[in-house]
Amino acid sequence: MRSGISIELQFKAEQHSAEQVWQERFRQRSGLAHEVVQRRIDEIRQAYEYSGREFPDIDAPDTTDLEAEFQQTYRDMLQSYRQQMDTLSAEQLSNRLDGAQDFLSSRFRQQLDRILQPHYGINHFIWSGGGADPCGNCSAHQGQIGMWGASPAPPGCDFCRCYAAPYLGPIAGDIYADAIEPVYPEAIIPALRIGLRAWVFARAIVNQNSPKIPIVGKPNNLTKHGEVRWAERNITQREVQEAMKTAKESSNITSKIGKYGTLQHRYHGKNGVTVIVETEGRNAGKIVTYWRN
Amino acid sequence: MVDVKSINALLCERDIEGLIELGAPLDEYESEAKIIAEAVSDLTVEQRTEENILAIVTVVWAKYFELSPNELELRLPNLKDLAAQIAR
Repeated sequence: MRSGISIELQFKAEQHSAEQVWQERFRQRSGLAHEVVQRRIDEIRQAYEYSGREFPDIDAPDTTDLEAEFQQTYRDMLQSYRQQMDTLSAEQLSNRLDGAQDFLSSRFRQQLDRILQPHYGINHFIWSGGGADPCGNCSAHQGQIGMWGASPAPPGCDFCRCYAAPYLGPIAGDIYADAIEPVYPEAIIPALRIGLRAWVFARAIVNQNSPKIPIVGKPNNLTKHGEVRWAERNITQREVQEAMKTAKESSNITSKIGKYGTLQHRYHGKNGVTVIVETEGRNAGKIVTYWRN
Repeated sequence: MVDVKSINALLCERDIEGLIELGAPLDEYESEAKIIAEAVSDLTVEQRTEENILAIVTVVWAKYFELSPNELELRLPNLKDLAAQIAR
């Protein structure tokens, strides 16, 4: 059994240590936001590598405001724990800071995924992770594939480490172009002022009449419109790559703000092929169309 | 069947995606024109309402240009005018 004096000494040592923990966190984590952004981009890059596709050659979106907001929230959180240093041991403080950091990072990560993945041409996510003990909400959604901008939105989780991982794998029915089935157009029915019946009817009738697009030899990263143009214009993936490569080498790329305020790049290839690439929105990084001059 | 050429002409004239303006050939929207024409042809005379045609052109646009709801909404005025022109 420790004497009264030794208990007091021990407590002081812990106080000192808790302060050290706090100071260390404060010093080391000043770049946490940027670190999280880079990790999210790396994960998207890995998803592209894994699927054998090329990571889009576009600039990262501006996440400065979001990073600043996260960093400020993180600093506020640290400040709030500073007042508890007197009553917590180093270990307790460290655990609580870990928990708070996970919570904040998880929310920040979700916000980033919504921006970064569509920006880099990732249309779908797969609800993943959760570690050894995912919460009930995340367990229920594990492995489910969703579409960015679609309904339902990603489940979202503040309690465990589940997240919307970038998904570039096959989508059921995606072998042919007629099978794309985004739920999202329903969201726009009120603006269209048409009935759900008309919408469902139109969708069925359009799907019946859509051309079949073979998958063999299809270039990567095309919109559906681009796929149809590919099937009809007989321009190979090699020609598209060559056009983009030679346009870059000869600086023969023109950028233009499109009709709806998004920036589009036009690659004038030396092989006589022109390629249009969208840089923003859902189709960021995707080839919208191409043609022979 | 509704005339593919005239729908294609309307699509080129409206150039909803601005691709013709970027230099794309005049058959750029031809596949969409064909799908719209075939889908409208599948409607009975009573079904050829502006509402049904608008639903068709919107589905075609959402599907082929892979638009988010916001992006689709920006194109709605053009799609509505197009549907009205086809319905006439």
